[in-house]
Amino acid sequence: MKEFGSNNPANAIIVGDSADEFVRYTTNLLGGYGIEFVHCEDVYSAVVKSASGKRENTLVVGRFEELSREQGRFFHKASERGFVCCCLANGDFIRRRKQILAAVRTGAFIVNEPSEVESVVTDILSGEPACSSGKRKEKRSALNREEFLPTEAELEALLEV
Amino acid sequence: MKSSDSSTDENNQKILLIGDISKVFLDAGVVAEERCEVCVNMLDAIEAAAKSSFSAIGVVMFGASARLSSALKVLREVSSGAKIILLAQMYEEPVAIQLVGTVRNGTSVADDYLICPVHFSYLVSRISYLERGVPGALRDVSIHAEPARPAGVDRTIEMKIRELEKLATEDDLTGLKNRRYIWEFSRQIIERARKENGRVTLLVFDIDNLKHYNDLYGHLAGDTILKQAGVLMQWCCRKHDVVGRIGGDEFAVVFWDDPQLRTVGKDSERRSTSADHPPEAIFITKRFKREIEKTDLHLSDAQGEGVLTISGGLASFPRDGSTIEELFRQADRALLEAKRSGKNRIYLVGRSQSDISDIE
Repeated sequence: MKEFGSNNPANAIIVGDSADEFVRYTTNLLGGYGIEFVHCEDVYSAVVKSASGKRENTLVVGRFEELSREQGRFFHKASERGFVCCCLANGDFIRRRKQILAAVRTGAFIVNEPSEVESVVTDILSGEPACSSGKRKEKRSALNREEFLPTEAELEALLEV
Repeated sequence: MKSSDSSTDENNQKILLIGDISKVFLDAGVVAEERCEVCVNMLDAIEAAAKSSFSAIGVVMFGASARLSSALKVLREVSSGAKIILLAQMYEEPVAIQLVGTVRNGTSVADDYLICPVHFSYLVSRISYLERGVPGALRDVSIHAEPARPAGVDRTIEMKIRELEKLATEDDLTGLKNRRYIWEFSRQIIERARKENGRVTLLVFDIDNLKHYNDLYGHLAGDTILKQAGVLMQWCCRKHDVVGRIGGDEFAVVFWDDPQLRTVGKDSERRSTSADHPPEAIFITKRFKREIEKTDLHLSDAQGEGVLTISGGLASFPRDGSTIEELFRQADRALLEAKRSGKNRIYLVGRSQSDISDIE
């Protein structure tokens, strides 16, 4: 596992069991784009790694189930550091509705298919990461809640379905 | 509560407490005055442990994630010098024992556990013991100026403490939990069930005609019956259910929902049947009643075989009462009714005159 720090910066943290298909997929995807990453077995290890990471726009990828443990606290921590979380929810929207909405409010991306991670990666590589609503964010740290309202409404509507 | 920017030397003496400490310390207010940092969330705690040095970490198990073992492993990695002590409720003891015995990368994920509620000073004593082999509780009383005791003596004291703990919670004849333990355990588990929409069922039963056996075969034979009944009940129960002897020939069993065995499907099922007695408790009680009737008593008289019966009462939370007192009262009442109706029957509260064996 690579260490974070100015000498050896990592651009992504992949969270989850290394035997997990989604983790393997993401590992290959990021490798293909030449993005350096560290792998953490769970959200507990990820919080240690992220605490030592200083770079904004570091991408954190993992299953929503894993990243949302401990009342979704990781999303808040990642948001404070300017990290971009991208989680696979696997269609589990109804049962996790409240948690998903809370994660989206912190700026996390929720994807339903592993292949959707790629668009988040390309956004980050372009240097201007989009927010979860698909709109460009001018400043990640100054998240405008009103900007999220349509997205939240859309997500609510989707969850109703 | 001190902030985490103290000097390294001071930090080394600090204790990190994780979780809702209001339920684990009898004197939670004292904690603020001690050298403690409290993190309600595990991820905040791991981050704090990664940034500062702590001499010990107390982890409240109540409300902790099902992945506590993984969290403890990371805590251990980021604070290798700290002693990790689990603060468990009585019903969490089996999990605590398992975690203390769980070895990852050559070390146990936790060093010890305490059954709560306890005074904060007891945690401090425990930490002292783990760090230096000197029981802090004794040091607080008299040994401030005394030279360090030889390790062998400390081990003896530790063994004596364990022995006293056992005496305080177990029935010496049967080895089952005693009345005090059953009462406190039930109180804690009902409190948890109230918060988590869980179920608790209390079975109170006694051996029919035990006096007759005592008079006929002697008190040693009576003791044997009590021991066998306890062993058989434990055998019939699930691992997490608690069996105790609460009086002469009176036993109690606490059936409860183990969160580790819960699934989403079962949760919804539980809600839908909350008005009834939990089927698992009824099934286990029926099985026990059946088994005890065909038990070979190993008594001196061949007639001892197959004649042992029990009478009992079954009361459930929240259906039959909202406190432990109410549940015991209701279960006792059902037991008395079963006795008056001719013995060898177990009545469910609210379904009197109908033996458990007749319930589908």
